[in-house]
Amino acid sequence: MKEKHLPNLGIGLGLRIPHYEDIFRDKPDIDWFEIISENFMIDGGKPLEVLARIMDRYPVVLHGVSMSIGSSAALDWEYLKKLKALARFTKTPWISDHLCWGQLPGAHYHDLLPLPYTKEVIKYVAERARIVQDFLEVPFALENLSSYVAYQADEMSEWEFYSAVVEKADINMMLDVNNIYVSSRNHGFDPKEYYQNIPMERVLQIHIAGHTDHGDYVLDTHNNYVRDEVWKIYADVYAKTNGVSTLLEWDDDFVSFQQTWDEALKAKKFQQALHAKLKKPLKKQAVLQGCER
Amino acid sequence: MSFDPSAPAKLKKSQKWFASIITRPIDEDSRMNPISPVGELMEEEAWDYIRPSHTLRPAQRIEIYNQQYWWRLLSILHETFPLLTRLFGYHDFNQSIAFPYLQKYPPNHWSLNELGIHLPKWIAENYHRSDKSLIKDSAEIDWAYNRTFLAREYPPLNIGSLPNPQDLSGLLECTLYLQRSINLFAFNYDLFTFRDNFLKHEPEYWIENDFPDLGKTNQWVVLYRSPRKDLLWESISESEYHLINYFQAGASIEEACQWLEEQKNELYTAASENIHTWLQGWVIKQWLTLEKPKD
Repeated sequence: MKEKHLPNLGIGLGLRIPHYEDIFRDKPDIDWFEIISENFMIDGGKPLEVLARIMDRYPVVLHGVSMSIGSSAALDWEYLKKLKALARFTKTPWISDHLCWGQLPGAHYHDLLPLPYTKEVIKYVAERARIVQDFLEVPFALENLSSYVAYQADEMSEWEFYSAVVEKADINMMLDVNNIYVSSRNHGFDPKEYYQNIPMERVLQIHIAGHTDHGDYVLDTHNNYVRDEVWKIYADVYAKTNGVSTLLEWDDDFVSFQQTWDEALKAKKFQQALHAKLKKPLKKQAVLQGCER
Repeated sequence: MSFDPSAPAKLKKSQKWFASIITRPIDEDSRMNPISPVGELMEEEAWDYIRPSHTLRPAQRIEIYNQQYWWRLLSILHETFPLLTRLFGYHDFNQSIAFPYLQKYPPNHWSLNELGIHLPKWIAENYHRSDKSLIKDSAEIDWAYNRTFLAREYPPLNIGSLPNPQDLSGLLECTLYLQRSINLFAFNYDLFTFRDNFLKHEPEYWIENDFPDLGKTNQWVVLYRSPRKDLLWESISESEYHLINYFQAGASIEEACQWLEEQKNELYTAASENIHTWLQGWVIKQWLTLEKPKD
């Protein structure tokens, strides 16, 4: 893997409309924001004005939901061109999307649909991911999904599949620890087995989020506080990465901005434990240089 | 958009099957259709592709995606068409409008902003109840808010942008265009106030309470994005409406004046008395541009 010197941005939040007013009024001391790329891949209007105001003060990272890297449909070059233009505009240090599919020719399903874990799909997706990273000219990362089905065609575990795709494509991992937990419950595996068997040096960012437990299955809803089980995975994973950017996603049943930020800041407790162990202070100077801000 | 020639055949087959299942409408209890598109029992067919979990059978597992697909799209339409959703209530909106519309126009763009693009047209063609006019107009203004929110902004006209700022007579001959964020409406009722009042409460509220008054009056309205990017509307006179509408396709002030002279007397009289003030206002509000907007 090429050395990329990706910065640890600290703790961030997913930028969401219900929080705009608080952010612009109070200018909270948040390390960085992640935006849903597609919401800003537009010609103009209010969203771009909001983005420009956010960029005046905070580093911004792009996270997409519609690239559909694993689709059997051809790559959408119009989409990729718009994404690249947004990447240049925001100076995002990396771009992430999901290891999934969500479209076929003439149809978009607007969901993160799981792929069969097979060798031929690894080859196919890795090649497309490599093309995308080359085109975007920005480090590219794929995120693990929360999934609710497993295919009869599966030849391996999710973590073997995920690892193989990013290794073969020579890209990065955007590791969602809530998704590890959700999928572990839905598919009956031990979360530890997942994160102990992935190339941790490729993890450039961690997502944390809340979920909804329906008993028979767990749904990745991003509408609640992060559960203790997920914080436990986070603590382990964060330590194994030696410290990478962390982001809380909260997308529904919103609480106040302060409550959301307080929830994200809980990550600091686990980070401090690691940095105390490594005798390394939690600093952001390098981060800011890395972001060229 | 076509298939990727390097896509594995088995992947293509499984994705086509998956898509065919999740896009079929769920019933009123949000349950998946028990019969597959090829007429098999879903309980059996799902086993060909999906493994069971320790708690769910294959059909139950894919049903989660079927529900998510519909709930997500319905929720986007509720957000994009807030007046329409309140007029019907969630249940009737979903059953009478959203499900049939989304079956006719399933999403085919990566942006969910495009999901409702055909809805006003779909209503015009497919909705035939006695309140059709109100429903169609409501869909149009809901969609116009979406367009106004997202429209590209072209450099607004200002005196400094003219070829010769010292000589304002040049302005008379410049072709001026309306910003794409400007939407014009002519109604015989006060639909914008009606909408504002409706939106003060969630859709559930209107199931138990009387609808706001819909004042009968001729109304000409401009919906626009302010320089601060807020979405605003204002009532204008009929003559201002017609004059500003003339700039949609691009026109110079000279051409507009010439056109006015050919109009009926009262329109011409009102416009000729106010054209200077109106133009000043449009420039201040950044409604005009010298650049031809791309459609």
